[in-house]
Amino acid sequence: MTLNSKDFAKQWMFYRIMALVVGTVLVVLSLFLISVRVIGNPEPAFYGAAWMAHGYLFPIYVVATFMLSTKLKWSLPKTILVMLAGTVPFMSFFTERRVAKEVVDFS
Amino acid sequence: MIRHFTARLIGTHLLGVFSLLTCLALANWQWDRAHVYLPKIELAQKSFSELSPLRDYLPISSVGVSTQVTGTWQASERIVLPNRIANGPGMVNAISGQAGTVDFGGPIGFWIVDILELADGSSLGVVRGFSENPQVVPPATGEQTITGVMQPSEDVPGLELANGISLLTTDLIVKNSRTIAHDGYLVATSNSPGLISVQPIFKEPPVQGLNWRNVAYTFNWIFFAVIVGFMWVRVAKDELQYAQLAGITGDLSHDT
Repeated sequence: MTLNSKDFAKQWMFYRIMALVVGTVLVVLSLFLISVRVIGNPEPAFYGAAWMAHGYLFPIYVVATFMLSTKLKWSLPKTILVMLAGTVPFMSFFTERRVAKEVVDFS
Repeated sequence: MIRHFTARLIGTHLLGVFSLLTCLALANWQWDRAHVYLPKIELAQKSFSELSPLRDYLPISSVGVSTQVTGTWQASERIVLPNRIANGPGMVNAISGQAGTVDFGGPIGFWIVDILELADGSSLGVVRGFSENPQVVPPATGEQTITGVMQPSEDVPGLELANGISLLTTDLIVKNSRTIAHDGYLVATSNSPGLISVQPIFKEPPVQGLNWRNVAYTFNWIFFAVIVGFMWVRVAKDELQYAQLAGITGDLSHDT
């Protein structure tokens, strides 16, 4: 399998979409977290459900990262670090950019 | 066959087993937390050590149960909670998510919470009573035996206090304690000078069904376990292929 194959393009797109979705949801929820916990505003009605949704989106991001890691032959620590990037606000955006550069270098 | 047991493959299996067991243990923990239903239990007085295990959450079955505890007051660690009434259940938001201000229908003042240091060195937050003027409440000093009922931290899921009252949480008690603190707090039923007795929010263990949030987290961890299983099989298959290939070519450099 080459990096230019259709299969790789699908894995790469899957990872990019999940990194963007998980990153955006996490940033938005972090802003609400600050509003509730730091400023003391009441919890919005969707707050608990939204965190729950993030809890289900993150494992999908993990799968997307894993699938990509098998294609790019990443080491286990690197794979885990990229997976953990989905738990830190903004980090998945930076990671996605770095991975994109790697993909371009490889291709 | 023995060549199939490469260091990487063994490592993969160990990591797979560990990750899968961790996910299942966390799912089990959330499932336990989701079950807040309890049959009616005898609310006889119990010993404090039986009710409130240190370094653990206050069991639901301990909520509202009467107990006696002896300790020394830490006068300098007092917590004064504003905008409260003596009738604890009256502060609970009847309709979840209700906006606006609820009329408490009684004098609004302060809950006086003092920290009691117990013989084992642990700390316990004790709501000694209600006062409209906390400045005149004499400090709690010396050793004393207090009778009261155990209450959960006010950030417990399912409890919502009205009018945006600042919550009496275990976090707050921990911050005001010099030593390791118990989860939850005790509402003193014995009178203290200058204070009106507070009616505890929970007079008996809360009886309700499953907590949906914890149920969802349970399935979240099961979902994770399935994903871990998928990744485990996938990596193990790849490693096995490498090992087989190395067996044919006699090259095991992949292991190093």
